[in-house]
Amino acid sequence: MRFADVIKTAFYNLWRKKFRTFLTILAIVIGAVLIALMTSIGTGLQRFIVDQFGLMVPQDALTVYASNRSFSYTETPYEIVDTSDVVIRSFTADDVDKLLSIEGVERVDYNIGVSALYVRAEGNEKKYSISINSGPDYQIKMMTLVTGDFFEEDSSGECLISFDYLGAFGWEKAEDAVGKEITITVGKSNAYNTETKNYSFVISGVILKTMNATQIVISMNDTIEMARYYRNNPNQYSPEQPGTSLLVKVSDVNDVERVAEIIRAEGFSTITPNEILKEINSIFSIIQIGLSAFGIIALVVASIGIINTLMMSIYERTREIGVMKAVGATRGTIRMLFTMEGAALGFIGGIAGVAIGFVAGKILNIIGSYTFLSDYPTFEMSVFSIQLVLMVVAVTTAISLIAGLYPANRAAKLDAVEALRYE
Amino acid sequence: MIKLENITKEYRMGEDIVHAVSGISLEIEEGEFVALVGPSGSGKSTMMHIIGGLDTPTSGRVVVDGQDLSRANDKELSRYRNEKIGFVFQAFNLHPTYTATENVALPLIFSGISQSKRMKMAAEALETVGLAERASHRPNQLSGGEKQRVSIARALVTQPKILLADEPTGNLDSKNGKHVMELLSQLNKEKGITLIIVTHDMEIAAVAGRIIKMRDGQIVEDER
Repeated sequence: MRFADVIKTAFYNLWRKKFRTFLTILAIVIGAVLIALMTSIGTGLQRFIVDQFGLMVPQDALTVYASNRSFSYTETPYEIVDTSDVVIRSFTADDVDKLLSIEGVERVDYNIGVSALYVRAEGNEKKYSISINSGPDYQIKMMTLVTGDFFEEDSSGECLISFDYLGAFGWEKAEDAVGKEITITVGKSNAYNTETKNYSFVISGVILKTMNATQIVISMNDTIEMARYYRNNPNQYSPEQPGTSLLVKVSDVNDVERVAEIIRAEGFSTITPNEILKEINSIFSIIQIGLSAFGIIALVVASIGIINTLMMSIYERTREIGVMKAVGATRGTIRMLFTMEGAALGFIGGIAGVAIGFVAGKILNIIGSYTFLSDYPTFEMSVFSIQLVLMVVAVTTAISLIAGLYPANRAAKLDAVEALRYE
Repeated sequence: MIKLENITKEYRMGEDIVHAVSGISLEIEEGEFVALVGPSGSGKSTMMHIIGGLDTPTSGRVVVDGQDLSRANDKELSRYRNEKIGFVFQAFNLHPTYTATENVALPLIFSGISQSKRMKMAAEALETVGLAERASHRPNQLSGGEKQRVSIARALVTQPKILLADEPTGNLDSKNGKHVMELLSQLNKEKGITLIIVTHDMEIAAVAGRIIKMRDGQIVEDER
């Protein structure tokens, strides 16, 4: 039997029982829509995170840690053979020189971390939450300015605020914010914040929101001063105490992996942006599998429907099968015909499901762009690729084909003489 | 042409073993017109199924046109049925949603013949049985006699050497039954097709050149 005839016959037989075929396919469609939509949302989220990562993390810089940061968390106590495994080392002035001497390293900066209690705007007593961001120029300049200007790297007393503070501080337009003064209050951490100190900044510009939403960006000099007060340590972030981590800028982005290897050989640890990206992507593949699990469950349920439909059809068509055998159909041909009917159900269901999922995703994107995603105009919640379309159709077809195997085998094994006598 | 050597066929029905055919030996020459007659349960249908390759004997040898059917596998038997045998059933067994042409073309699908060639061959077969003008009718638009003629056309379409008809007039009135019998004997005479008819109607059997009477799975009379 020609393959084209197998396909034609399979579709013809499904068409004969339109309503039953429709109901069976409906179950597959539900599964296909779930898989398509969930995976497309997973892809959308992944793109969002990766894009944000690209916006926030310079691709030509490394965060380097003095100690080996491979902490192991185990449930049972384990023996510490080498205390250097658990001690968080700090860098020394020599270490910094060593890093600077590596070929291809452009500059080394302190990786400053500080937390403040709250922020207030001039003429407004309301306190707002804050996360302070700081860093070398090449990091700051990656942010997207809405209005105003970046401050000079070695300046002090100037800041950038993220877009969402405008509403909080009661400014209508971003332009209104530029030139205004804000006050950041820092508490001394080892005095349980009983002692506080205020730092005032003039807003030089407004930046676009990133995932790190409520942030205010200040210069490294100001951050160091704040950090020294916060930790009550006047020598913090000085050549004597560079901290436990440093930012290393590599002059050529293609050199990052090589520099990272040298740094690791020196006994420090670091993760390259590429490695982080790989990690993010692998986490998302797991998330996507998790999301599509619902669809897979729906498809498994649908495949029971397929088995049922095909079994019914075999009982109805027993005589027909007998005639086919009498006029020369082999067991293999009968098996193939019914398997193909199962596969055809999955194929049609898959295509319909992807189409519906695609439209639903587009609607979701439109709704999102007016509501919860209005701050991220470039972000699409549901992203369809040709691979996704092919994958969904392939999965539904394969599952249906497998579901069709059992009924098909039953049909193939029917005794021709019995089948011809069947009433 | 057809040679049966000591054929037995046993069925298991619960605890009992039923001997449908016990120890039959028989030869049928090419171009013969044979009527297998006998009461129900005499084993005549089983004999026909064994000759047609739809069933295999429990023991004994069946050789048709030089091919040993008792040793053939499913693929070989299917090919044998497709190429050398044409079946005509009492209940016609036409596909209800296919047109007459599509019904007639069914065996050709399994021979792997192209759609256009199938339709051409089916039209020719319908012509042979005198139903060319009914080509696009579906079974429910045809009379009983016409249905049986479509089913004969389906049996003829692969140009088989042997036609096996199981009570071909059983569902027809006497006039239509007569027409069908005329058509079958004409095919036997003019095309030299070996014709084996299973019937319990002695009037129909009388048309045949050879009558084989069966009872309890054995041949009781073989008269030419």
